[in-house]
Amino acid sequence: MVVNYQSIFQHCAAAFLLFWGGGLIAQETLQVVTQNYQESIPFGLGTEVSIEGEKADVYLSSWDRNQVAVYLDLSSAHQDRRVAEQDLERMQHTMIQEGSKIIVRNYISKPEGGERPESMLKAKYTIILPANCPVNLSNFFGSADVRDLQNAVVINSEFCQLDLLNLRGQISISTRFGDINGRQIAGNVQIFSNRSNINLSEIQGVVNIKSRYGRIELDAQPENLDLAIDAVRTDIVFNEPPVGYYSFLLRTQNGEIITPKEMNFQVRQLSADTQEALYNPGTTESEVKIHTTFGNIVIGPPLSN
Amino acid sequence: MIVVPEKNRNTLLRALRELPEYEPPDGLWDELGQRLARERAEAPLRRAIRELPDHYPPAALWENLHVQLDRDQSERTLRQAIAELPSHHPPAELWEDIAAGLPPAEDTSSPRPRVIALWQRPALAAGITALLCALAWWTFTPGLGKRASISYSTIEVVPLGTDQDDQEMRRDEEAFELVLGELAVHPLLGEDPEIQMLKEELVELDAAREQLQTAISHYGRDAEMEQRMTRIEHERGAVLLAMIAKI
Repeated sequence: MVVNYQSIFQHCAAAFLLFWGGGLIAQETLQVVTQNYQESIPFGLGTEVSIEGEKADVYLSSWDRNQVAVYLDLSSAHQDRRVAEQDLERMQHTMIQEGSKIIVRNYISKPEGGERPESMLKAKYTIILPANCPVNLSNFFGSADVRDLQNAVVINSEFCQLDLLNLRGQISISTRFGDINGRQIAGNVQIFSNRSNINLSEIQGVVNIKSRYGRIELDAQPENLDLAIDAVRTDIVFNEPPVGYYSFLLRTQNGEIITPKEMNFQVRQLSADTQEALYNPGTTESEVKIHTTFGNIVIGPPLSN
Repeated sequence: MIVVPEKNRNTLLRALRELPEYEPPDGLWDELGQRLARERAEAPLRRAIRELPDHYPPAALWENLHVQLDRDQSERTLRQAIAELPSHHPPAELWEDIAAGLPPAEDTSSPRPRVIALWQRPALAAGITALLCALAWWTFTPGLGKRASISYSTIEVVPLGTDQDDQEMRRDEEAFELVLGELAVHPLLGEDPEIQMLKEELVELDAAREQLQTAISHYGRDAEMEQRMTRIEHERGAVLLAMIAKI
């Protein structure tokens, strides 16, 4: 066998050039200019915080001080630093206190007939407040990470990824084109979702979910759950249900219900396109009610004791 | 030698007796003794410092540095930004603490170049450290009202979108127009409930797509926006396929 070293070398060189050339083409460096604002406001009984974000990544958490600390970064990224600086001037913000309400807002100034910004603009909030401070958050485009709050949380978002952790109390969430990932959510919970996937674990309390177009996947603590899901074109998966803690009433139209054999659901065909499944251990008043159209309901294998 | 007697001797002696007597304050002799001892101890250091050779950079070096700084546009921008930074005034007691830690001022009338004595450097370093710590504390500790600052950095990103992408998008839109046109003239599917639902779904997705495009024109096109747009396009694609399946 004749080894053609020249050919091997040429192939290696081509692969090397492709690799490094590709790497060079694939990356570009942007100059980032960031304007940072910090403000600390005393917290009193009845104080409420309202955040109105646009293209914002919001991190909201609690501490044991009677203060609301707001850190806001407005950033602009472009290949040319001067362009980034000019565009950053379009990013506006307000931090005001109206009575007991603290309002934090960012927005973009849109001059009539003016040139649109060339840079990538972004806001980043870090807000730390007492756990019992009610929060009202609205955000359009971006993300929100909300955690460790114990009073009232209202979220109204579009095109915004929501990550929720350890929230208790009155919780109301409305999301459109933005998925929800939640863990340790307890209390009186209302969720309205449209074109969004919901993933909840360790939920407790009274939980009502209305969903259009999406997928809901959840699991729950083995006590204190009253869950109602009313969905359209949504698949719903309930993982590892603890046996004996809830009764189930499941109904789907133009869909399918899948239940674990161990739980021995009573399945009924109500009409040509409607199916119902019931499970009642007779030992609890907690109830899981799920209704969907053009979607499937899957109850996973039960949680082993 | 001829001694001339002082005519006012007695008057002078009386005046001397009548002069008031002053005693130095307590501890003065001790303090003088300590100062002398300190100066004796520092004498070798001072002598060594005086004997240190002086070094001066060549004049051309300063000229080169000056030209280089002028050339660097980004450096100028940074300097401008620094000049525009808000000034902060640390609390008065901080300056007092630093002043207490510094040695007393020396006579500056000497023409020799200013050289910081070795024994002064720890005190100066401690003072600067205290100042920096105080500034850092003052800057980052919450609860002290409003603050603002500006910073510069860089990020590496993968460029998004090309003309080819735009061309593909135009072809996709032509496919939507074709299918919707076909449905409009179809004799059976015009009133079909499922087709109506799919059309409504498409209208909703088109509105979301337009909303995203507006946001991209305002905030720029980044990976997050691109992912959201991709998801909407997938859903629009699924609707289109469902429509085609009905035809």
